[in-house]
Amino acid sequence: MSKAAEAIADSQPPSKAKAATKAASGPGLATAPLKPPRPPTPTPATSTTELTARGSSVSSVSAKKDIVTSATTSMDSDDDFMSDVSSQDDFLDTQDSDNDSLGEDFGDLDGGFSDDKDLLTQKRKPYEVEFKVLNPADIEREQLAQISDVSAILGLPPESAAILLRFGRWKREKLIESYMDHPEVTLEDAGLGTNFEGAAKLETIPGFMCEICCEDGEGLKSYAMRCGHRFCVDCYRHYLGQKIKEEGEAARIECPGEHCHRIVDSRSLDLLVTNDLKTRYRVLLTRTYVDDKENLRWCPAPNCEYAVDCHVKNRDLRRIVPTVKCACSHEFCFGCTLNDHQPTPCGLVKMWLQKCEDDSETANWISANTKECPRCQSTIEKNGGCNHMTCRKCKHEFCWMCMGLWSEHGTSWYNCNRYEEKSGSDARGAQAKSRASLERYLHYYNRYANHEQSAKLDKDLYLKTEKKMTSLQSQSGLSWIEVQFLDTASQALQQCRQTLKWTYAFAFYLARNNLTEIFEDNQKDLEMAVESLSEMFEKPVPDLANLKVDILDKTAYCNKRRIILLSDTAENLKSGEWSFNVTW
Amino acid sequence: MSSSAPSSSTTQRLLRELKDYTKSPNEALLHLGPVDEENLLNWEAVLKGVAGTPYEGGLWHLRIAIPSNYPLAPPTIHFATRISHPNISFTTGEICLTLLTTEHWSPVYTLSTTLTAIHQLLTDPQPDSPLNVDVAALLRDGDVAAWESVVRYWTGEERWQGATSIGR
Repeated sequence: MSKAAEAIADSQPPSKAKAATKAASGPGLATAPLKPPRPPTPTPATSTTELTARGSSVSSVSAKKDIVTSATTSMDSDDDFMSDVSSQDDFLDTQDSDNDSLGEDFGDLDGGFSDDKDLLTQKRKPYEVEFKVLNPADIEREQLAQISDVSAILGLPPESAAILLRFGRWKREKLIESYMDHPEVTLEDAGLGTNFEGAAKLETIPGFMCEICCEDGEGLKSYAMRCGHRFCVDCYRHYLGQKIKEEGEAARIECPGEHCHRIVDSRSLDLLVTNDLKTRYRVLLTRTYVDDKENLRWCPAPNCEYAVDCHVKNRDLRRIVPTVKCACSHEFCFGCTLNDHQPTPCGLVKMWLQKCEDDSETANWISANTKECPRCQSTIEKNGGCNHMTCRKCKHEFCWMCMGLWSEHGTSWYNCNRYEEKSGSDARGAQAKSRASLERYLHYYNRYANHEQSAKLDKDLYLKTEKKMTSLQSQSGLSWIEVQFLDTASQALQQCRQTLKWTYAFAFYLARNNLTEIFEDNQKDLEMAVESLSEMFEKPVPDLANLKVDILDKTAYCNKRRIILLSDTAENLKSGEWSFNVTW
Repeated sequence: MSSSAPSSSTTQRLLRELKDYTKSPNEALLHLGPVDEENLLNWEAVLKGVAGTPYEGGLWHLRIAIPSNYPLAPPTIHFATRISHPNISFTTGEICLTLLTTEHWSPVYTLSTTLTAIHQLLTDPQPDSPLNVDVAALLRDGDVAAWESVVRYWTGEERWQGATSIGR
């Protein structure tokens, strides 16, 4: 389907495609920022066919089928429809006309970003960001496009333009400006000479002696870059092999010559090394390209070779939680590359994880096994059966049960039922204070950890789902398609638990106000829905068929509650409405 | 790495360096050559102090371990004689010199030119990237007199006394 859609996309005139895009991303959509391909539908005539154009332009990200209907229903507002055409314009430039416009697009990054923000607020769900997934070939193509572009503008050979771009960390405009102002200095700093004469070729020069191996035989083949430092081909080859294979260097391999900072260009390299080294060289170059570019990040999933392109900057991370989904279906945060942690912003996530690593186990144990001396607040573990405690530090004598003075206790601790007695309640008050923060932390931590744990259990269940579905098919006579609801439900469960988990970390850092109440209400609604879905999911297989409608309903409800919660949080985050009890 | 047998090109290069050194000795050195005939990858050198500096009159014995893929990889050089210098460890004799790191090493450098670089390091200490923090602190605080006297003391105290097999 995606192939067909692409063909349509290509044939669409750009203006129509823009309008289509807008229509596609109205509020009714239930998918990630990348709109998957969808089949053309006849009504409403223009816009729906055009939808396809936009969908396919975005590429290979997973397809969902429920789009067509939602896309058409989302056409309700004409105002909305018009308002975003211009920002979409930018978007399409990036997406559709890849090769020729990439360079420009790159230069326009900052201008484009403000438009992107409009895009975020008006068309995507508030918590979604725009991004696209690039495969290694895309990355290579992007690189080449920029190189040939700059090469044409500056009139330099492509291999030199490449070195210049890598030196300037692919900031095209800045680079061209600095080149125009001081060409010699820029070229020198980048490790390029000003001399572009002569073709790269191997030569045999009479009387030549290689400075590295001291070989001076007749007919010894040698090579020199434009800096003129000449070495025999063998030494050059070994040198490059050492750099590429052993040291993992590619972008900044310098001439072997003494104090020479000329960078070995790709043409020289192609001339000298074997094919496997060339491949390795290209891989390393692509790696530095993605590392250098602020708008690119590698997908952190194991063995995934895709990169994600997203224009959220580091400074925006206080207001946006940029969750992206790789083509390998791994969802991660573009800001910190950790797993999806909506709705909590990266800064808080970092603090929370740090805190959990430091505190949680110890704090749990302390909470479960110790009390504090009512006088000096030393933490005390009870090591004998008797309730008559004497603090080793301050010699305070108290009752372990009621924390009151031991002197007020009679001869028997059985009298210790005086819960409201003054000394005891005072002591408990002081203790309560010092322990309140710990309790508060544990409250949030336990819920956080519980959702993590439950998500794992749900996942185990999910692995059994396939089996369940098969048995369901045979037991109830349902077709494979008809039992897909379990799969959908399981995915929703995973996603909602992930979100819930992080709402607790988020709530831990929230200061109390009305917004927090609303947040907690949303959290409660989602949690209740998730728990009841989780319960249904655990029902024995024969019951599942009867529960199908309920499960479908609950799944939809969970997803809806999740979207509401995330949208609300993201909107307030964007407008800086939240107040936190920490600075971050 | 240095324990494995050198390739023929490494051997050739080292023999060539030895020949060059005997033909045109290095002013900064009293001696440079393999420790014994058996192992071409194990060299030693004796470095001379620079006149007009607190290192004047000093002699230091250096151990040079050469990797089997030399000159693609840099040699490892240590001061065997203790020296007080901001960029040289007093205890291990390790030298902090960018030239000796893989990233900055060039196969065109020879052992002789590398030792010249170390010799230059004596006149041009870099107290901002110190290996010997104590003596670097003196320089950073601008207490040149104290620094000079410390260096002079150790230069005299630890001066390499020579072995009969080495030297002219």
